[in-house]
Amino acid sequence: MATDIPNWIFLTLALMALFNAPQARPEAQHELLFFLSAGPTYHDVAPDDGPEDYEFFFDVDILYSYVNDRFRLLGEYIASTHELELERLQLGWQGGEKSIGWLGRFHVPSRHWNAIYHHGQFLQTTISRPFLEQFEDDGGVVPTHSTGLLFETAHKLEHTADLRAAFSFGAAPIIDDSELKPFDLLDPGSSNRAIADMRLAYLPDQLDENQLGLVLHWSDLEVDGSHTARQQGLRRVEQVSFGVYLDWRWREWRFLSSVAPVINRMKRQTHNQTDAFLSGYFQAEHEFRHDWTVFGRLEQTNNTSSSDYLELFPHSVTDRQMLGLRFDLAMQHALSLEVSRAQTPSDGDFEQYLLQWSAVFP
Amino acid sequence: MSPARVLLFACMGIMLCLEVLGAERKVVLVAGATSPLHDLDSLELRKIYLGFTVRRDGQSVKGLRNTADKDLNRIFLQAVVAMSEKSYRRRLLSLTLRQGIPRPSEYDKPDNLLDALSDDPYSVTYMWDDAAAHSPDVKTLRVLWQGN
Repeated sequence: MATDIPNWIFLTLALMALFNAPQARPEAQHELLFFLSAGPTYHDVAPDDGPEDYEFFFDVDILYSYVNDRFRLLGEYIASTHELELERLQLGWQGGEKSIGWLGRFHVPSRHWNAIYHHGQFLQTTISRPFLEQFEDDGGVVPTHSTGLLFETAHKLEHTADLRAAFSFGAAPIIDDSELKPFDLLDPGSSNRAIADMRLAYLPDQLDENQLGLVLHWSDLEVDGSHTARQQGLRRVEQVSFGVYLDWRWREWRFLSSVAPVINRMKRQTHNQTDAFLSGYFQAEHEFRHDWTVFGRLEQTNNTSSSDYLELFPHSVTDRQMLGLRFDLAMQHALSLEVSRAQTPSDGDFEQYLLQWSAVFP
Repeated sequence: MSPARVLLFACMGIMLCLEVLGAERKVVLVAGATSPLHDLDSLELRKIYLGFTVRRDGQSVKGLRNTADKDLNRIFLQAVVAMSEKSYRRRLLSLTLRQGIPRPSEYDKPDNLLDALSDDPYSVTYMWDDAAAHSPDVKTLRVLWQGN
């Protein structure tokens, strides 16, 4: 997943924008943001191929955006102790006040968590992500990236309510060794098949962020490099997922929840087989004294032991009970602590302790 | 000076002080003096500062933040976006992250703010009404807040 060349392209774009700013037309605007996060992780077990017992991570997420009237450019590049990757590179054209079409590599709209937080760790209250919201290289089993077309629109309902929709179609990830590998814009492969996603959201107040919604995902995942898949005689997987989600704030509380069944049609050399699992989470956050937030999340996935598809991702955390605390300081820094009881298909139960500093500049 | 005249001056002085102390201050919405903008309601203004697109004559209207004065900033947060500084800051960061929409430009020097308003006729900002009245480069669109 790591690529070396995109460093130059992304940084060149960012620097060009930075130095061209004074000459920009009045309607042109741009933004360069750095989301930083770092901290230690500790697991109370150290399986041979599973999570390390102790790790230190450091992530820099660079976000660049440029808007000139109806045209938009958005790029997100992540450099961390684990990876270097061009996460998003999108060219957009705003058709009306509430519609925009994008071309490029983006995060699929069917994952609400990713659609609001992307890689901006500072904005995310928790340190860890729920199982179905994990990025491909962090153990995600449902694609989170697509390369193609994305269309977003909104329709005003009665009073202040909004109905928002997002549709995308593009190139799907492939099933690589122990992880999904998304289409890489700068190192395109030929075996990527298709992926389509949709999200429908109802917002009672268009200026607020409270919403509930429906999501739909379909993808055709080619097997390319997975040893376990080869042993299973697996050629490709057709995956369908549909679900509901809720993102609601009430006074000092915030609730985030999602439930989605994932159905996998495993296309083998000799026969086809279908397996399915249901995964969901409920997260509650409570802010007190303005700077402190206490949070917790329950995640559960069923059929983990009987799913051949999940066998391809033996170290993905499928179940978790988590409690945490976050302290915000100086508007753009936060310290967070998380304690979890987690479970993966191959490693069983273990405890996980995460400590994180996160920030955004400027 | 007779005691009556002293008393009269004292009363006038007290009344003047009370007038100054009790004077209402106003925060007004302004655009460049040559701007074609003339009407923006509260909902549209809130949308502009929350990153939604609001168009006039096919042009996107931009909101500029006047951060020269803490009181002015506090009134903007209360009267225009109805959020705490922390929530507003996060909301804008989230918008950039999700949609690539840059945050409103911030100006802590009045001259720079006036230059920016003049450069883009489809931009608006807010300031104290006395500052607006003394500047020939801006026109007042409406009163956003008034109080002591």
